Amino acid sequence: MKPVLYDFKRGVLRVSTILVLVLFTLAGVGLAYLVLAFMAITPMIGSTAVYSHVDHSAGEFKLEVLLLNPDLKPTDGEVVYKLECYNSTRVNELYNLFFSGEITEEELERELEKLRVVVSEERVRSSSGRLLVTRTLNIPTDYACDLYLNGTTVFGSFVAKYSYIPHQFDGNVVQFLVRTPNGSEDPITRAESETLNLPLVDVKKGPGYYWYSVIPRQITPAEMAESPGRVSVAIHAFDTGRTVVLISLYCRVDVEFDVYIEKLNATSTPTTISTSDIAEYFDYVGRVRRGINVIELDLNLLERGQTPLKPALIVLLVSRSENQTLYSALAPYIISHRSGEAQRMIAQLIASPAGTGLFHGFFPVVVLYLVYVYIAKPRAQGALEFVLARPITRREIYTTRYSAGVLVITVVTALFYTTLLLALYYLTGVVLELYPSLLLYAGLLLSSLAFYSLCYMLSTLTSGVRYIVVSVILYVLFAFLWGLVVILLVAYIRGFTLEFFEEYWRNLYTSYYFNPLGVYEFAEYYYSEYYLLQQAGVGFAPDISEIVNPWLVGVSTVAWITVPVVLGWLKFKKVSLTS
Amino acid sequence: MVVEVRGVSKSFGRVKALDNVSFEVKNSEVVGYVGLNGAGKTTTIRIAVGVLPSDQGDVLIDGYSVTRDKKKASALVGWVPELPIFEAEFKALDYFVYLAGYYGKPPGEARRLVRELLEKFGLGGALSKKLSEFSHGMKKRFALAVSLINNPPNFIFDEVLSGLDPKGIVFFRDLVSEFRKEGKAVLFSSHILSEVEGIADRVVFIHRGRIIGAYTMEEIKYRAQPTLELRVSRVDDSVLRLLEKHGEPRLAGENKVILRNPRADPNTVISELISSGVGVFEFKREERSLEEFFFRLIESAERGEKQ
Repeated sequence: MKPVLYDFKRGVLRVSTILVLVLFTLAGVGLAYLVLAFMAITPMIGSTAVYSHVDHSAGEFKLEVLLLNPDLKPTDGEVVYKLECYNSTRVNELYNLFFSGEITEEELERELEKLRVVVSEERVRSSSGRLLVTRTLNIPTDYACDLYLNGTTVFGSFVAKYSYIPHQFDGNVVQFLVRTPNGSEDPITRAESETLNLPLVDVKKGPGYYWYSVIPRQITPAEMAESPGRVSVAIHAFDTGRTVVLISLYCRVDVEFDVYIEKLNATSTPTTISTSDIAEYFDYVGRVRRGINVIELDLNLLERGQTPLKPALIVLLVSRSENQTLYSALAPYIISHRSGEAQRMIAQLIASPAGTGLFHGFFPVVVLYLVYVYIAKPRAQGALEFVLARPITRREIYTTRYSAGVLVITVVTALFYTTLLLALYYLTGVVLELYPSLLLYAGLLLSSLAFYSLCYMLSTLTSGVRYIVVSVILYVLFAFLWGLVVILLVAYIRGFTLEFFEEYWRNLYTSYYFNPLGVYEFAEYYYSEYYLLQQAGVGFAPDISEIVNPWLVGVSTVAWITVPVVLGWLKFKKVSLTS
Repeated sequence: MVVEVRGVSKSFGRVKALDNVSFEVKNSEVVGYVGLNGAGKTTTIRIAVGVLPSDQGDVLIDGYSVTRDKKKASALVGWVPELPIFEAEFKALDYFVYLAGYYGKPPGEARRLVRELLEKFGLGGALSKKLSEFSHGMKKRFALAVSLINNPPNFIFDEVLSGLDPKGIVFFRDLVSEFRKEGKAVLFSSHILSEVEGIADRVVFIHRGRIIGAYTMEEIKYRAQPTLELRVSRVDDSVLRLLEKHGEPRLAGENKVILRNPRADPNTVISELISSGVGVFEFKREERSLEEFFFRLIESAERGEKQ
């Protein structure tokens, strides 16, 4: 085995290194869990689509929930549902008594509470973001129901209460509910003489204002009474040109509906069209049926990635058979999204002080200890002399041990970082992009290498316990006291002014060029810029783009790594290796 | 197979440790390198094995300079230091394999070799022991085993006999004898000339960083003169005057006198001392005292005389 590999092996396979590695790895995984747990209890940024029906005649309860992350991609989670029903006739009677003053509000509340019966309650885990429950329940036909959902995903949690819409046909009683995030709801109706009523999207522009409204299509009370179902539609547009159409649909006859969306170039869609004119105003986008449906479109609905091209877009669902044409026409508002929100949340988490910041803060201890093991200790003992008596030059001893340390640092950093990314991937399903991930890794690695080089040089100037003392002092200064030193310097030179924070912030980043661990801060800056994150711990960070110059960052990093190694060599080649 | 030390000088601060030191060790030759403590033996040896740079001069191992061709030179010489210091957290087996890597030995071969050599040097049971647990003698034997990793043609031992038990000394003598037969060049240092007797073919003497003589063992024995060593109750001018009648007295420590070239037999000298009221606790007569030869050499060097 080549001595450099042997030095690498003994650098890695020592109890202290392994212990630190395990601790950092566990910390990476543990912190990923901890922060995600914190995220999970915050209100959900993502969205949830819900479909449910209670078929009193068939004795069937069905619940379908689709959990979505901020990018509207299915995400795993857990939902506790509770189906609560009550005798609607008795409730009406109680309200009548209350309104006639025969009972008080407290008595009404008390009686209503007594009437509520939990019919079904369960904790269910989703599979690939989709949760499906079908239960056989015998609920009397005059009972109305409410559904309570309490869901948790890694992107947040939500609590919701939904009331079912009762529906009667041919003596059957069904209650249903359809929901999509930020969606519009509309009954399904029968088309009369192949004529379809459409909603009106009214946009008015004037000097200094921009106003629009959606007037739903006209439905007569008779049509409403005859309505065989209901649909909820939401349109979510992303700046990448991706459009997600979410449809939750109930129709008492389980038939397929063709889905059309209004053509983008249609300047004025009439409020009534014939079925034969659909293709003139609409594009076919897919086919749906009872339950939750997701239609992904490669369609850009945003201007400059931000503003919807139209405030709302008409969506038409049509089911044609020999006997009849069922349809629903809605105009949900286009909800614009910045893509990669889920990734941004995770990215912020990774670069937080609880993520790579923790490693960056404490790994230098391992680095300085590594130098102690490789050079400072054997030099103090005089053990390097025995090694030097082998067919090897001083330069080779110097470079071999340096290389072994570089290898150890590279591997340990990669192991920690990969574990953290894998843990987060396992927990969230989000894969981060390669470039920013490598950027942050490079920051961690290069800052560790810069500190390693500094310690390596230090080990040629001093050895043994003195080395430990000096290197620990430098570590504390560079890793923990640096910000304080900059604060004191700025306060001393400029005094406490209104611009103090800005001055401090700018000087802090300037000072990172003179700190071996500074390259991590620059890498984190570029990483944050990439994800458009704010600087960790600072609500408002002044613009430092002029200070963080990529060329200077490169030069200072190369200098921090190479100059100490070269200076160290100039000393090492002359130094006595005797104890 | 030759070690050539050529005009080597070395200073530590203001102290000149070596001053133009030159000598050589030829094939099949065992050379003792003798000097008092601090004379410059270890400094010479550390320069010779390439672990300490010299200020001037060079050392050639089979023609390869330890400064310019360090790797080739180091591959041709085995070194056992006076106090071997290893990276103590290693186990013997691992450290041997690690060092063997510098000789291009693959781990498998190195493991086979370490078992063979440690067995040979009585450390067979210490393969898995940490080097920090080794005694001084064990460390020396381990260093000896390491010096044989590639069976080099030249060996340099620094105070190798100090700390060895009689069995160890016999073992070393046999080993050196074997090396001599194999045509290897061996240089070994000692501060006791009598230790070198019976092992070395030739002795190079160093004093205060300068070579003060180089003699074959036969020549040393020939030049060595008889002495009478006495340990008495007191040493003063009257005692020395008394002894001057019988030879050349020299104070050799507290209440210890060496009488060089005694002209009377020991009984006469002792009787005169006792009758003068001087107690004699111990006496020793040597026909050829190597130590005396060594001290004379040093005295001459200090007087600036050439032997």
